[in-house]
Amino acid sequence: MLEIKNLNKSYGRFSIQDINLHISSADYYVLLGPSGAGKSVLLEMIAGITKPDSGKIILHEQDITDLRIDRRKTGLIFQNPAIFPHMTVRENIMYGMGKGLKSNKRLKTGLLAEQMGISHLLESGTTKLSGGELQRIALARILASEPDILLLDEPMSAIDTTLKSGLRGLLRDLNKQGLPVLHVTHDYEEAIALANTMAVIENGRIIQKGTPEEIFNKPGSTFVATFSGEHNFFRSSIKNHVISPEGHSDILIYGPDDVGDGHAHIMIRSKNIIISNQKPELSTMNNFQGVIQSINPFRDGFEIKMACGIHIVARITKDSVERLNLYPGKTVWACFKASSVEIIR
Amino acid sequence: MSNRTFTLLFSTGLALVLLFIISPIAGMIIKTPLPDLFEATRDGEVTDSIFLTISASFAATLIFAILSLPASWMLARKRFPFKRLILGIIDLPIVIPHTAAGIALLGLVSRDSVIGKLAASMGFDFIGHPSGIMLAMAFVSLPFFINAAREGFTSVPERIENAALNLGASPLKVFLTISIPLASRNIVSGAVMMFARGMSEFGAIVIIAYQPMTTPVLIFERFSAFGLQYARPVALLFMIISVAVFLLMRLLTKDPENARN
Repeated sequence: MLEIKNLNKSYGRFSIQDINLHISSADYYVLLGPSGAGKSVLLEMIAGITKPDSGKIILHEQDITDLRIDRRKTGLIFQNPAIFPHMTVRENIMYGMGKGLKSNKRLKTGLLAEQMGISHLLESGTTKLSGGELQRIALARILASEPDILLLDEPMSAIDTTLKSGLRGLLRDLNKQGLPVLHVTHDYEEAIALANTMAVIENGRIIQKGTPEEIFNKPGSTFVATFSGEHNFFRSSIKNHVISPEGHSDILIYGPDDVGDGHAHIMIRSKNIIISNQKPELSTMNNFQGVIQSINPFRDGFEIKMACGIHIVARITKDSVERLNLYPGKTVWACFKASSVEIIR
Repeated sequence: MSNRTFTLLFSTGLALVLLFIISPIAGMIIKTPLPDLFEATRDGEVTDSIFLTISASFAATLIFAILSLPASWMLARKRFPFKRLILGIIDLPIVIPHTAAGIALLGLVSRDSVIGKLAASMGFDFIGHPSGIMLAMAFVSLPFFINAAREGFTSVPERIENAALNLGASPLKVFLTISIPLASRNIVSGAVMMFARGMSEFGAIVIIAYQPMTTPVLIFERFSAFGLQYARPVALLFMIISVAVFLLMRLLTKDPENARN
């Protein structure tokens, strides 16, 4: 589908180096990386806004490296939606539609607006709309131009948290309908919620590729490790409000009451895990017995890694390690509240 | 210096500047008897010259502004060698004496020049013709338009243009439907300035096309042939019309939001 081969671009001290990616037609591909890693430049090169110094970009087996922007069919959504301020919402959406009957275009605009939940805004101007509304218009406008791939540059950064899940759902649906997506973000939660394939980019280089589970459980970069070290992260299935990490149906984790059935990633922050020598008589719903695998110093304390079928990481103080006399190989209990289980969908 | 003295000093400065601009105009109004002014409005030579001046400046603005829009966009968007030099060249008509500009233009379009001969072969002559007047007006006033339009195009976010290209629109479509509308305020403002500057041109026109007479040339001719008394009513009438046309254009080109305010 989209193949990026040995792509390079240099900007003085910063450079994008030897980028290789393969995105298939069913992929929701997330490129995760900190700010300034070169994510946006990479998308701009794919869209044709920036010219690479070397390398190839192949879309549908056609080399588009030197093709004009307007002929690429790579729909790019910018971080700040570039909505045309002098046009109505309808005119914005219709802008990229090719030649055809006006009635057909209006019909298509209506359908897209309905899909994006912006039908009521069609005749309005765009200057007074919210970030979420503008991003939906941008999405409808891109879809109207019938791109071969959707390129998303931090599309949720200008959107309220409450509106994010709605937009995530929309993006996921579009991907399920057969539109491949390459989404760049620095937000790991967004990456977990959306990706079926991921890559991590740092200092202009791709340093790791894989599924979200592979990336977060075996981090290959400090950026990801900082996140995964702080949190326990499992892809899980949920049935009758009880959560089981995938491949560990014998382990039952209790989450918040309102958790719905299905598949999701769960996250338990390591600072919310309590370690005890005896089976505790606590109010915590989740109590697991296991063996300490490692104890490593970490910023203001120690990071305890315990195996109980799954690996649970806890963060405790030096005093607690000494008081509980913890050492690798010792059997302990790890406990956490149901409310500490965060569901990322 | 106390704050009060400071304000007083600066206010006096402002008052003097205003006095400097207003007093000659006020003097002209006071010294022109109303019957003379009405007489001027009935003088065919005067009305013809006013019509010629306004129409020639309007046509010059329309034609040259449209033709120089792509150049203004290029100067705003693209980086290329000698760009600063080119910007300097565009500003040249502002700094050179306008009679010198007229002489230069005359060399270019006179009957002996290549362009002049080409025009003559088509039964056409720039010298002593409204087209020559338009050429002279455009030459001295075009920098005002190009600079304003360039500023307008610079203020259009490149991201918006790229978004339009990314939607599959051709560069020409993006220029016509995104860049020009978004820069329109500066473009129109530049066109109004160009039009106003063109109307008031004398130096270059008097060299290239003394006849048919534009109003500034007519005022000069009446002054040199008959004296101040005969030139003044024409000058006042042209000034009133110029200000009225200028204000009307400003009003028409004001965006509705600001016009309401």
